[in-house]
Amino acid sequence: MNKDEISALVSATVSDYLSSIGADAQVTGETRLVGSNAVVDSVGLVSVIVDVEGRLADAGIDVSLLSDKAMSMQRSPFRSVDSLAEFINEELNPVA
Amino acid sequence: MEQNTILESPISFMLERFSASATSTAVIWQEQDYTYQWLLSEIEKARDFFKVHSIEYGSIVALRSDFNPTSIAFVLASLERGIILVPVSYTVKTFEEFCDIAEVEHIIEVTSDSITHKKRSQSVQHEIMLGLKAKRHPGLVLFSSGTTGKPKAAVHDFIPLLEKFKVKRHTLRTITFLLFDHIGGVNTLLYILSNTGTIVAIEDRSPENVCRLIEKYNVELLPTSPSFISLLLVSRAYERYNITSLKMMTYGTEAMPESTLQRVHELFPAIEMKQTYGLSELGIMRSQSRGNNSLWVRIGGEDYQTKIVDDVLFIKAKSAMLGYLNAPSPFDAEGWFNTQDRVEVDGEWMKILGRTSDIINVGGQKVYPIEVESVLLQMEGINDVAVYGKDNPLLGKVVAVDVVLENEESLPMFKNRMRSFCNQKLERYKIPVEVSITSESHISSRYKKMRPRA
Repeated sequence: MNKDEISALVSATVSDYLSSIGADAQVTGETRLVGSNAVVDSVGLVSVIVDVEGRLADAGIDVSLLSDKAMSMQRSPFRSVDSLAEFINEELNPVA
Repeated sequence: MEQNTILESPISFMLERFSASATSTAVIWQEQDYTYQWLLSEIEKARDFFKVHSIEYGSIVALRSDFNPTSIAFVLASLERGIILVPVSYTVKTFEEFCDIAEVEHIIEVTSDSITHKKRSQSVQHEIMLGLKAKRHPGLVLFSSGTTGKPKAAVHDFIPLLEKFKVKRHTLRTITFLLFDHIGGVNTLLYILSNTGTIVAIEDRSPENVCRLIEKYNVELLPTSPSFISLLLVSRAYERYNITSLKMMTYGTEAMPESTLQRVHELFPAIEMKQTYGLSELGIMRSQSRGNNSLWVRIGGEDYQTKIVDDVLFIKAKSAMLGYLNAPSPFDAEGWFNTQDRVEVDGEWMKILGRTSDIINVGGQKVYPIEVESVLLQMEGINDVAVYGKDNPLLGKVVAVDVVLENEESLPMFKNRMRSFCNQKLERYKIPVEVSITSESHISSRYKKMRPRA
């Protein structure tokens, strides 16, 4: 899965989550997942992360996003749709 | 002295009533009627059995069986002989372990066609058992169902337990749905027999068979559990049999989902729905539901006191157990027992929210599985749900659910449907984050919900 596909998957997951809770919003790469402008609360963030993991698993990709590494990174990978997609991309396609 | 046993017997009041109602049906079992006269002669045979096999006063006897006319006679005869009875139904897979814990000296197994006896080499050492033996009082050992940890063996002195059955009361024709080794099952048995009512003994407790027996024998009372009622609703067995003879359904042993109660009440508005409350350690309390579709209940009775501390129910009982055989005493210095049940209170009424150990702490907010289950059960095409907490590095715990669906559906589709459905009905933190679609129901062979523990 390349970076664009990962971005699309994360965006779609966030968008589906928002519409399922009746909070339609335009989801872009900049959509914030944490902080004062976030479109989801903490439970929503966890739901999105679990759903992303689930969708990746459906595509045959096993990755844990709530790893110690993700949790201890100086800049949280969960800040935005883009940062989450980027983190997943680095996990899946590490640059040597 | 043997000929005087009836006069000294703790069940003489029952035996007198049996004689007076000799021709009435005591038990219906495997499509056959057994009268009180028959039961009296079967008790006589059980007395002989004890003598022949040298099962003396104060022996500790495991009775491996389910409700049937002969096992019932053995229960009554053991009361007379001051036996410490350990009833163990066939749902228990760890029979030997139970025998070790209860220091069982004799095993009697009563099946549909045989009665067997086995002596165990066992030295009795537990002081509770020795105390009962010295008093020559019959005893009862019940194992708590142990949803958390190991089952605990509660020992009762049977004499005070019998006291409440001396007052004559009205009875309904009753299916002994609750198990032979469950406090509710023992209570039903003694209640019906001491009032010379009729028991319909059942082995196959499936909704289909329960409904069939209700129709065939005009059963009036079904004492059961919320899990069985859920299964009954899913099975729709009530559409295939006429169960209008039922006057009352009682439910206890676990919390009831509000939506299940509403549904059963809509389907059967004429049936009185009564919540019961009892514990292996304390016996069955008197209870009254606020209405047929209400989870508010009043519990107590002359032998019980209740108090609520930090939303947890505490009970003090006159006829509480003597203690556990394999755990420290759970009573505080004043004799209060912590039920571990969380409750909401409205004056003298209370609503049981669930076990303290089942509460899910999502980032500091409390979630009761039963509330979430109640909402999910209102969705289309859900056969069973079990809500539990799962560890999560961000929130401590998140709400997880295992669902059994009626029709196939993809996980993402179901998740979306579930979230949309729950959105208006539950606070965000209560909506399950982790969802698994499973094929197996979470109802145990004892008709209780078993929630996964993560």
